[in-house]
Amino acid sequence: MKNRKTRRVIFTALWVLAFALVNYPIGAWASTKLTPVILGLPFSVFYFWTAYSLLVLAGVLLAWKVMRD
Amino acid sequence: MANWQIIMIIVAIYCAVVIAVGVFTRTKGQTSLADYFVGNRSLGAFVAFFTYVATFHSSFAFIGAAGQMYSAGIKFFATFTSCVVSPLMIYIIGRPTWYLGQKYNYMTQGELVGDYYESKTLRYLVAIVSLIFLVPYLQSQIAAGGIIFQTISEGRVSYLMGCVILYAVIIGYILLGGFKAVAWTDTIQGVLMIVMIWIAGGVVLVRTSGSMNWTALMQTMATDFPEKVLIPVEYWPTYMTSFISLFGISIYPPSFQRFFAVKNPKTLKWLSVTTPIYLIFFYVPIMIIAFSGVVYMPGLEKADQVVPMMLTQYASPILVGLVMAGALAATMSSTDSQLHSASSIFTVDLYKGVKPDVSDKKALFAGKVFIVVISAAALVLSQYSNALITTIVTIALGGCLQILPSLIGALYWKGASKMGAISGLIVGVTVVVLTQYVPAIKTPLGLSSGFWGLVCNLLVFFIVSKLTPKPSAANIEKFHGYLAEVNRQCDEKAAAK
Repeated sequence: MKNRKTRRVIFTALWVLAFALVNYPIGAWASTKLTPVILGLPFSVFYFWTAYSLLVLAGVLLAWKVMRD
Repeated sequence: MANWQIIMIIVAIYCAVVIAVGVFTRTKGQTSLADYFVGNRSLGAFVAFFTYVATFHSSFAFIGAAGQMYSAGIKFFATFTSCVVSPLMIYIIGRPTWYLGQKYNYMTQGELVGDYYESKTLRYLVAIVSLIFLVPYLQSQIAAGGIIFQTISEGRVSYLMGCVILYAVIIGYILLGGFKAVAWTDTIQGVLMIVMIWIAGGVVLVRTSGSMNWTALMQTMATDFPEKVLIPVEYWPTYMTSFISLFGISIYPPSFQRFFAVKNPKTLKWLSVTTPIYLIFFYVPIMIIAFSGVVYMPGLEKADQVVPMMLTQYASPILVGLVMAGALAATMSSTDSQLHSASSIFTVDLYKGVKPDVSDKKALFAGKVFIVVISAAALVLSQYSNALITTIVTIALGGCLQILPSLIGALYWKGASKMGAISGLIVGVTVVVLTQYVPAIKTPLGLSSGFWGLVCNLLVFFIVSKLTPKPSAANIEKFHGYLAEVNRQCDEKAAAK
């Protein structure tokens, strides 16, 4: 039980961190940058795809490590 | 044979296939309400996944999203947040809903909250709010079908006729097969959508840029249309709150009904983690097509036409036919779920609410008649709206989101009261309508009407609940006691492992 509570705190914090990446102020900063171009994408576009992918990953971890059933 | 004829033949074959699914999934003999409306609660992970994502992904994704990216660029990324966050609601709301549905045979939201708050008024209110906000979404889907048929036939099939064809095909398989037909056609449609949009994105990129490398396209976007690959600072309040409104996706009756239909809660857990992956991947090719449209087909009168127009211009007729079948699939998979859900709300909450002793056979007949009537109403309305599909969808989801507080009370908060739920819902819906349609107070601070509705709803729900009587102790135990017991058993099992 105690393990589950610790896991809940850790993975929820991880998810909130990933969620913060696509929000103000970090996301707002990234959304005004056209350079550097990464993988052929303007920085703003690359950043959001990457940040959303991280958020999806954090969600998967949260579900598997914390959720019941 | 002319290109448009080849495309129309492929689309016709697709329509025949989905009707065939309706025929094959038809239950022989007497059909029960649970069979017709929640597929006997037997949906496995594979079908549940595709029926959920296909319901979630309507023409809004295939047509509307591309239109938004074409006209406003990456500001559309704001909705991705909802694609990632709202699936978590599948677990938070869906899991307890599944347990309660299994235990007490619920099939709709109205049934569940009406029973918890011991209020038929609330049950009817939830049903009416759901139906009111289902219609605009339904209307937008039928409108999208009309646009698709009109575009692929190069105007030979009129917009009205396109809407009628879509309407007839969907009605056909829903009336035949009920929930199973909806779930299985959604599965076919979900696969078709993701495969075809990726092929379409690739083909458009190759035909416009000469290779699969998107660097040139993105460089042109950054140089010539920088406003489309940046998000202006003033957009951030909208950006950061739009996902809250889109939480409504999980509360939206067609999605919510899947919570009752899956065979176990583990399926819901799978849904909550796999859905975002599908949703995020879906938008990569959509972005490529939309940005290619910005560069190679600027100035389209209707932004929503960018996918069909780009494809008819740059792809072979067979591919256009297949992709347009995918677009129709996106439209149909949402429309069928909405119609089916509307029918279950009418039958279970309203018809059976007024006539509790009516037989399943009569109730089902009434439900089927309602499908024909409500879709005819949406068909008529689809002829009178010029709003972007995305806008209509946002209003519909924001409206349905107002049911959330009453659900939270039934699933999590023992302090909620009947009057709190009723007054919160009424205030929430009123605020959504006012902040959407009254020019003087339209979307204050740039925040969506669904967001404002939810804030006011929650405030009223909380304050009124504090001041008015709670449901009976027996009913609180029936819901919260049962859910606590389920959780305790789950924890014990996990600890034993």
